[in-house]
Amino acid sequence: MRFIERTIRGIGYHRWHHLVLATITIGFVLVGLFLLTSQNFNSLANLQFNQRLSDLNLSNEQAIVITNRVAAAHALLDANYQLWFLAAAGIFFLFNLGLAISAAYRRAAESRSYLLLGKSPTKVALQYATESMFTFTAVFIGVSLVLLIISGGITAWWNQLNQGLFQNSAGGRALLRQFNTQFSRIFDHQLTGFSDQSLLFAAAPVSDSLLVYPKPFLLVFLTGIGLILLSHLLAAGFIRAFAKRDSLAH
Amino acid sequence: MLFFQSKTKKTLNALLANLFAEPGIYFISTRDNTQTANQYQDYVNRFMQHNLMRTIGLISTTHTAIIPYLSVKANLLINGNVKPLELVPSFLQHDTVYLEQSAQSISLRQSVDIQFFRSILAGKRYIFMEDSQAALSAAEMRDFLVDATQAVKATEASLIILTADHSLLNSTPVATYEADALSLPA
Repeated sequence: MRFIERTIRGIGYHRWHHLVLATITIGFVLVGLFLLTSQNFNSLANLQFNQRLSDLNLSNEQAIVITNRVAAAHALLDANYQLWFLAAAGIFFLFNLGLAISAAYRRAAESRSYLLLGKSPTKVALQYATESMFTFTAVFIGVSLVLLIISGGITAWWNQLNQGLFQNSAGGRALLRQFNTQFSRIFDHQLTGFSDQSLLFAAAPVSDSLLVYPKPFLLVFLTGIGLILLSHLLAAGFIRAFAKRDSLAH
Repeated sequence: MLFFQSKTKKTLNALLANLFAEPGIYFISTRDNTQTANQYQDYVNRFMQHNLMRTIGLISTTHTAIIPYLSVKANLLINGNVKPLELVPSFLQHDTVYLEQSAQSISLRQSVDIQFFRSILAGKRYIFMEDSQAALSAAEMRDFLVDATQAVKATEASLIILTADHSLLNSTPVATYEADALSLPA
């Protein structure tokens, strides 16, 4: 109870710190969810493609060639999403490390109070981290709820973005060229009912509810919480140093 | 100060246990308020350096270690209450308006009470107080000592007051030490 009171009052007292954190969190959650959901779309698209391909009466040889090519293009995009997500997480981590160090600096007097009360620098860092994790969780829930409410529009838009990215990626462009030259012959006498582009990548996502893709939410949340905790623990040394410096002023 | 510098946490603990063996109120007599402040700061630095803050409570007028955004009550209970709440005088126990008030707007006099009783509730063995003669008048100090004597007896703690106020030394402490008591070799 006292712990919760301390956290909530602390957030209220250090409003600016938490407003900055909230802004960064909104950016990270949106980018993270987009990238990971797109990664999901991407692998689902690959699956869909293979299913559609099996509906056509292709010879084994032809099917394998196409399947492998398409899988390779999707894998490349997949790796890119992974890389971008890591980059986003890295930027989020650096921002948080900066925030944690600036908190250690601006809260030096407060830190010294806690140290004088017999708390260890790690414990003080954990308290500041708890405040930040509280803000992160609140913002994450808020952003997620908004996204789920406008789920239909968002999934369609993200899928479109993802489709665009696929077609503009090196692997995707090469595939499209191949489709128009050699592969199109394979489909010449087939009743496909879809274009080469939507064959490669579905025009609509599997479901228009983001709830069907819960994994990105969990991953973004855990990554965010973990990075905040890590950055504050890394800044524990600064808490001691700044608190010590603060004592010289008295 | 030579003693503190050359000894470790263990010897420091032993020295404290030896000097303040019997629970109660002790005085460390200083020349003037400047010496009080310097001596107090020096003790705090040594205690921090040797991670002794778990057993040591502090009462200061320059760095109160009161968290401004917490309520008076939250500040009183900040180190937990291993000792019963009944030890706190009734004016601190029942005045809910005051207890819920933000600790930002309290007076120095009130802050001394909070600092003392938060250490008592936390079960700190030694409570060092810097009497800069700014927070409390001589009469208020005597009032405070009445409350403090009871609480200290009930919890087996020692309140060690650094003071230049020699009229205080005539009250009945367990012992009075000179300013260099803690720095002399045992």
